[in-house]
Amino acid sequence: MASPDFSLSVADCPLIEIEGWDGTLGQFEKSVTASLGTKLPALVGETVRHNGLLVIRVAPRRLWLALDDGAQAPSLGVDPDLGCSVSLGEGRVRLRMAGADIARVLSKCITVDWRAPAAAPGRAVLTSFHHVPVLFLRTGETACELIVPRSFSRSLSDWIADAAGRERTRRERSPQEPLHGLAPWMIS
Amino acid sequence: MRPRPRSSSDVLRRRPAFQALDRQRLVGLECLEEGKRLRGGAILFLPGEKPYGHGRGRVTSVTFSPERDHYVGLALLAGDVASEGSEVVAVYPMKAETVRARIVSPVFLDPQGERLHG
Repeated sequence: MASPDFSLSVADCPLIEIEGWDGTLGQFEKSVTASLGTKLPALVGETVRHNGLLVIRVAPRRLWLALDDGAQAPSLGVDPDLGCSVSLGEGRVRLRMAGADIARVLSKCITVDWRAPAAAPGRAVLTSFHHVPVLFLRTGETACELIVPRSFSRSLSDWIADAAGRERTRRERSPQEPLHGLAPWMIS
Repeated sequence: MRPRPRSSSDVLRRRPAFQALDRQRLVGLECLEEGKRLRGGAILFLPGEKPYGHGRGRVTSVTFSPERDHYVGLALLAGDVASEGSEVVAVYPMKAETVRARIVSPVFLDPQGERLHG
């Protein structure tokens, strides 16, 4: 679906999960840094973009490597003594959203505060959407992605389209209400 | 003369509400209409029934099933009408939607566990 105020698209999501063992995390990170040729995000929720690859720290010892469309998967030889890697791409789908209505639409979907520093552009948040675990990726001022399990992607995209439809109706009825998220009484 | 209960669980089991024919039970629903969907919270009626009041039950949760290629859901439905294979009408007044659905087992996929256990 697409309109001037909100667009939603669904695409495959090549994704690799890597995780380091507890006792050898330092060595694991050094090895991954050398393989990827970039530093790793230091904290959970931080991301680093490098050569068509988005590195996301989703847990203290776990990283997701999300590939852009058409990007080549990095050759990662993870030493089993240091950690492991597994491809999650078959089971995940990327929902891309953009537009001025995005904050209001998402407020009907996930419990992530669009204005919070943890959800600033370039940050990632693991959350749930209708009881389904999803990764929220803020990609711009009015753009974001949700990486969702493939089997739930249709349900969730229908949910978002529904929310966007309600938002469009609301906007047509009262176009003067402020955009980007919050009702007037919530802004002090 | 009513049979004498043997244990406390037996007493509970014999409570009138547990014996009521219209006691709600969990059923599965599958959407029968192309291009339409089930919605959580929809009220269930029998075909031809006037959609008024609390109906015969309600849809508790729904999702799209990639395996079956249509929406499926779980519902609590009055036991006296909850026979598998029969149809109900799910009414969602908030969006003025009405959709026909078939009552099925709440175990939608691999009910015998054949895929799971190879």
